[in-house]
Amino acid sequence: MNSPKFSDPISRRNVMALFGAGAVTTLLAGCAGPGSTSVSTPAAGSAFTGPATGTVSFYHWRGEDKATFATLIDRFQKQNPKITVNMTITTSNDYLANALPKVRGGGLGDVLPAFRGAQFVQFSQAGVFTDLAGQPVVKDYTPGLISAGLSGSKQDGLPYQLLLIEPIINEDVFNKAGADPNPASWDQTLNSCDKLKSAGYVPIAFPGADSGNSSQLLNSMVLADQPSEDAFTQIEAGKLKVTDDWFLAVLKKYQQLGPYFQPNFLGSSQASARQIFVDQKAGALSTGSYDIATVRQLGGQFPIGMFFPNTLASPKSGWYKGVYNATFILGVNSKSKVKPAALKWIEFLSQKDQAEYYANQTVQWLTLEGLNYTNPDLKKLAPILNEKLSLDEKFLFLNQDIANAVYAACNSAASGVSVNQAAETAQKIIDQARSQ
Amino acid sequence: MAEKWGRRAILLVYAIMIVIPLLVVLFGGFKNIGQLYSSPLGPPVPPTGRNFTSLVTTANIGVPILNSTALTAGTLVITLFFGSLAAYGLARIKGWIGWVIWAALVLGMTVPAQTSLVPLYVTFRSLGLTDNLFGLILVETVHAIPVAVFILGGFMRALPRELYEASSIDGAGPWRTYRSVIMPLSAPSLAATAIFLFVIVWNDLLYPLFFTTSPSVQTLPLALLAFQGEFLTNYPAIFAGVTVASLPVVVAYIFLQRYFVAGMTAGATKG
Amino acid sequence: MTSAGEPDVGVRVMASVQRRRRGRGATRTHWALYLFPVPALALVVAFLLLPLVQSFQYAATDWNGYSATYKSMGLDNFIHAIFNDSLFQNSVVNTLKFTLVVVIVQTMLSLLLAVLLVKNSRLNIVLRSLFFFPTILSSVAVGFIWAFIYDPTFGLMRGLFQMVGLGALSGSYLGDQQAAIYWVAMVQIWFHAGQLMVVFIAGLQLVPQELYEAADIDGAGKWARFRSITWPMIAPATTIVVAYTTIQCFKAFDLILGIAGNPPGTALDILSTRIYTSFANSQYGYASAESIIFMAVIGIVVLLQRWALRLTQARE
Repeated sequence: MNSPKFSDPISRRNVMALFGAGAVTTLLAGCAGPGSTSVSTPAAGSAFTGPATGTVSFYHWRGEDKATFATLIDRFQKQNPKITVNMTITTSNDYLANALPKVRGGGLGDVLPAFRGAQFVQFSQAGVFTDLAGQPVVKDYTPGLISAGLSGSKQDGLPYQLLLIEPIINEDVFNKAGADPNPASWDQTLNSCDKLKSAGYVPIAFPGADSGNSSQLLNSMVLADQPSEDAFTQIEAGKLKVTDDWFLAVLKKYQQLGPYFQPNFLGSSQASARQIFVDQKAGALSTGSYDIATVRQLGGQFPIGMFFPNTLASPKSGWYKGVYNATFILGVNSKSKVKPAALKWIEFLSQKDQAEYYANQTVQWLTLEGLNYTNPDLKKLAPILNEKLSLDEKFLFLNQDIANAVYAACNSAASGVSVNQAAETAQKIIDQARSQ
Repeated sequence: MAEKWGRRAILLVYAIMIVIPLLVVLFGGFKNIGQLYSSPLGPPVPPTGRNFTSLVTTANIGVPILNSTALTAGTLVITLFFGSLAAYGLARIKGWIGWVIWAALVLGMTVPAQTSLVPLYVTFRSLGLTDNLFGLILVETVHAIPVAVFILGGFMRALPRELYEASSIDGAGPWRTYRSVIMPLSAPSLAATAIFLFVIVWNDLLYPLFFTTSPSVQTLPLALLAFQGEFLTNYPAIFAGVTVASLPVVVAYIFLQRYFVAGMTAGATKG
Repeated sequence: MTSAGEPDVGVRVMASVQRRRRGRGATRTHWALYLFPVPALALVVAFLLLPLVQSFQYAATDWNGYSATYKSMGLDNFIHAIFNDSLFQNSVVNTLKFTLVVVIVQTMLSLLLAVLLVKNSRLNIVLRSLFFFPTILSSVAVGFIWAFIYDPTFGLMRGLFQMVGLGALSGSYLGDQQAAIYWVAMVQIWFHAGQLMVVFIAGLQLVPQELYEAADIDGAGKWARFRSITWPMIAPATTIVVAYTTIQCFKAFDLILGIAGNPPGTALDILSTRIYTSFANSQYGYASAESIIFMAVIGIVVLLQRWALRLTQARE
């Protein structure tokens, strides 16, 4: 019953058939009832045998890294003249929401990353990835850091980037205002913000209109109050509610922090918030270490550090010093027609010198072993990676509507809406999404 | 006197409201990010051409320009051909059959596109017509045909009956009448329809977004939307892209203004 | 005369030639004529009407677009969407708010501009082309432009508020959960008022001057003239403008994605973007149900408008 495959070129017969009036009945009979598409299971075993040639579509969300990837693609193609790599970039919000249906046909994303957590699970369950276990390239990675790419015993992907997910700061501004970038409690966090504000700065530039970036702060904000580390999973399962006391406490903190964001922050895009920071009018920028390269590109020359908004009621030893994430989980599309070439591209990105180039250009640590970081920002901030860090938890949300409802609750609490009202609005959406 | 100045004031204010956003884009494309944020409206001093060169070098804007051109041209040619055939036939078919066909086509126009989009997508997927330019032309054509039949049909029904009859007395079959009598006479309304559809198809985002994924078949509006990801709201780059993407339509508008207005009005009133 | 406000020259010329009714020489239809509409009809039936029917079929399932199996849901999708899905309800409310504001404000504005520019003077023709210009741009481009203008820190709108001494009132625009949809409505009006102005100009130019001359003799004031002559006489144009504007509003998909990104937040989520989100989440059955409700909402709104318009257009 099934007609040609997803990306088959149009045959002349197809064309003729479409225009022949008689074909209408064929169409009626032949296709497009619910369930009429068959699901093919990826062939097991020798997925990567065969010649490494062809055009590899590389689909991702890192607009910041475009130029660096372009250089790497150039180098790669010189080494492998029979392979072409085409890069397609979209926004992280779009990638999170819309990537799955686009890649599952195989027309896009021969090599593709997944966000750690929900999206990776979703991709794995949908059979998007090809198992990489046993491939030599896996050995290049730090074993403890690539578990996020495991699905059962299958190595579906390799987390590539290692990020600090907490606000970045302008150390000059912090020094001038006498603000402490390492608060040991929530009071001290607010105190730092207060000092920045009195000195005439925006304490934290916050991209309120961009849920993907503004929600990064949530990872830090929940740490002291959450009853367990998988709290977000439990919210989604209905076992915890955002109307519970612990989450109201989190929202309360957002409400206290709101006055330290720039005015009308709910309308600020990431670019707009970042520009305030680049202009040296803000102490901190609430995104993450992945934004440093762009700040530098835009002409920010001040010393950059990290700011961990500590939410403890009182200082406690052995507490977290920040939040990290191992993400950009690179894998090979199971529907790809150029798997050997796709794997070659991943292997190339995992080579020491190429990985170092990528890391130093884009100011990101990687999960590969034994890399030499020469970028001054990377070198300076690297010691934080040895501290006690919490793993980014917000990617545990599997349902995007639920995640967005929780993020919206945080932002509206920060903008002055009562915490109860913000929580109830969100819980209503969560309940409805769960009932579907 | 007061009334005259009142009129002028209203028109002047509205003219300024139209012009300013356009100037922001036009100037913005020639600025760097710092210049744009510090003076959004001022002229670009000194101007930079970097945004435009990066469109070509890194954003590869040539591909979407070609795709949009092929998509628009293909859709227009097929739609005008099939649409004028149908409009002509319906102007001459007598009795209930003509009405049934007419009603089916009208129904196709009044149903919002979204309603049939999901099943249409599934059909196209199983025919291998998603993610290629031909499939996209087909989708746009299907949605444009009812509009074309409507505009052209209004015109052809208004043609004097004698025209049809005279040519059949001459021994010309329907095809020859269509080709050598009706088509030349219909040139103005064909042009109006073409322009109305040109603007719609050139700027359309909905169908390309649903029906394509690969960069090789990306159209201009999709490429523009992708700029959000590629340039991360780097507005000068985006504005340069907006300028380039709008250029063909703007140039056409400058030279064919009168037909634009006539065409898009015909589209609104009859479509 | 190069009037910019003249719809479809050919049609009007020919319309006057016609008027001699058909039906006289009732010869039989030539068989070959039946072939002419076939290509158009085949495409429309296969790819518009058939999918429309299938849409109802899908709407009664929970099909996710790729699996071989699916459950029959009966009317559950509809019930869930209408009664239990606050995101969907929110998108209906947003669509209606947006449409209501745009239809009223844009229709009034384009009529005002048409009245001011109805004479074919050189300046008027230039202004008409200028006001018409935004219509030819792509919605995505327009969305980008205005997203920048609405930036709460660097944008022009904030500058405008400050210039007139109301800086304190300048808000977060698109970030304002209550007002955002109205700020986008303003963009839609900027975008399309000029196009519908032209339709009104065409309508106004068809009003016979004698009617106004008669009214002048009666000593009617400006408003009375407008109310009792212009408004009823341009009723056909108004009907077209209102219906077309409504449909444009329901289709504001591209503009929303351009201005708010994909997917838009709840404040700017309208029906068409909501349906796309469901589709992108692989909820094909549910998206179909949503799209059928979408069709019903458009139908109801258009009917209500006809009824409301007719009430005002009755001549006193």
